[in-house]
Amino acid sequence: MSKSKRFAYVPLSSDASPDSILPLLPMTLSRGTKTSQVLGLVDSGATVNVLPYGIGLEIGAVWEEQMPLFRLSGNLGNYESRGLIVNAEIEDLEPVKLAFAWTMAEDVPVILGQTNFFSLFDVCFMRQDREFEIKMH
Amino acid sequence: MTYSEALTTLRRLNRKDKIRAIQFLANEVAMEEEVYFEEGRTYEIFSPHESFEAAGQLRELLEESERVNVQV
Repeated sequence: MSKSKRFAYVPLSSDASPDSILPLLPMTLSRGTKTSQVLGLVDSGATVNVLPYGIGLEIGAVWEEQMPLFRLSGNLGNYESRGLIVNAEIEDLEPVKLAFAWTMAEDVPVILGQTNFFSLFDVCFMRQDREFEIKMH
Repeated sequence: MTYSEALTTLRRLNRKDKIRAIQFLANEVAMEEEVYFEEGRTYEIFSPHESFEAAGQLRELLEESERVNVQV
């Protein structure tokens, strides 16, 4: 099983302009037998991982059963959020458990932040090469 | 103006103005429902920069799930 992996930055505009590329990490999230393929924004400025409401439902989470969290900062402060632990598989790396702030917001990307994505992985951004690397601790 | 009168007027518009009318109405409805997102606009990323209390709660949740070996 690999310990590290490189990924290409993902262009969000059709012309693949350097201004539109983001470190989006492809991963499979699951709870029990339900899974969802997502692209997580690797965001070192985010204090927590964030999961949009619809993805949580897709993997079978029940809102009422999760622990309410303190209000998040920024725009997400307008929405209630709850703590949710999810299995995450990233290519052939060892599967990990990610703790998400599961938000009622829908128009938000999956965000991979300090707690706990960056606790599990060292991340190296090589934007000039349009690549980033994650390495398991 | 009634709905039927408005329809009659809208039918007289050229294609470009009909599309503008659709956009106008979509924005009007969105404003009424307090939906502030418009197609094609760029919005701030929802990055929670200083959610330290929530981060602490998530850490405790993880530690608890590892302690009791909860399957997710």
